[in-house]
Amino acid sequence: MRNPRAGFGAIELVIAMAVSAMIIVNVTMVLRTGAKAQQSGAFAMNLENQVEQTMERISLAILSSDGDSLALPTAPFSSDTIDYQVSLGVQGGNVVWSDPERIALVPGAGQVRWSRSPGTPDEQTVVWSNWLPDFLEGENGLNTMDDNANGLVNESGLAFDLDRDLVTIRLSITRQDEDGNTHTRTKMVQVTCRN
Amino acid sequence: MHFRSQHRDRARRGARGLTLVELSVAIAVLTVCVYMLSQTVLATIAQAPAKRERAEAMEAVRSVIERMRNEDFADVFALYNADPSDDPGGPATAPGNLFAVPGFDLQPGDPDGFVGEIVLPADGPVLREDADVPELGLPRDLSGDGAVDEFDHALDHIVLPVLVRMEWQSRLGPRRIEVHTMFSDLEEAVP
Repeated sequence: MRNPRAGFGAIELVIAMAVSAMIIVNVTMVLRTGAKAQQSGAFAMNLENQVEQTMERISLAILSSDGDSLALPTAPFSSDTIDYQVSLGVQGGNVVWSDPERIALVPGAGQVRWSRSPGTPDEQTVVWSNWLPDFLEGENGLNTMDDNANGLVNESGLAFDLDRDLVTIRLSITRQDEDGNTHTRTKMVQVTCRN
Repeated sequence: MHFRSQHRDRARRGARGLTLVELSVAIAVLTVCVYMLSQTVLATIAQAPAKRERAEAMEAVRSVIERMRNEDFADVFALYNADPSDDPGGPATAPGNLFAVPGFDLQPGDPDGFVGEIVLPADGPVLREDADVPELGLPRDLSGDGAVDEFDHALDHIVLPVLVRMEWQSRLGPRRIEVHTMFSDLEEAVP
């Protein structure tokens, strides 16, 4: 009969080590996958927030603009630039308008750029967002086709179109994470000019 | 004596290892712990898409309100009520009170087949101030004459309370959002 105080045999020890190693490898893989998924989720969430914030700024600017002064195409055409003036208030029965402002996609730089008094020596500019693609998500370039079935052809990463006082804004942002995965977020907002 | 005997018993039991009952209890406790942990993790993971879905629903509702605002105020009631007979462009030419939103599933048993609904003070072509629609604040004065009466104000109202509602089936169950707003004819209200 085997003495219970004799300890483990070599075979028992090898089997125990093999089983332990398998468990450790599996647990490590699960943890690594979880960490990657969390990183990817956080990255996507950041992108989502950036799209939200940029869209909020653009729509608030257009909301207080003069709808009659907007020179934008109607669907299926669109523009990547909008020039507008916002109402500052009423003085002597007349609406006081701001200096001209512009929101535009800067080609090549992939930026949404807001500017006041564009084209003048007093021009001020602020970049509202980076990482815009040349074309909106799903659009395959200048082929005069509505590739992404959104009613527009050849629309840029930032696209404006007008229906009376209703401005439709579309925006895509694309970024690559550390693992080389591409994340794209697209948002469409419709705003009616209040002035 | 008694203490020494107890100590010997415990030592013998330790050398024998765990009994089947002890092992079963330990496995059961471990299973419950793992189950609770996985439920917490899964619930957290499911929250992110649900939040995004809600934001998209809110954006869809906002878009509907903006499209309504883009119409002439005098036409809004006729364009968006449930009755196609009074549509300004001819019968059944207006958007009506129901709308679909791509990417959103209907709740089981949804009677109208649309996730979105616009609620106005009346379904038909007659707009009465004495209608009983508490969710829109009616009865109330819609024509600006300071009185609530039983006449049709479809052509002379200057305010129009509106409720836009979305009900859909998400992965976490049925969901619903409502947005209340008020349209007004400022030129009539402030001559």
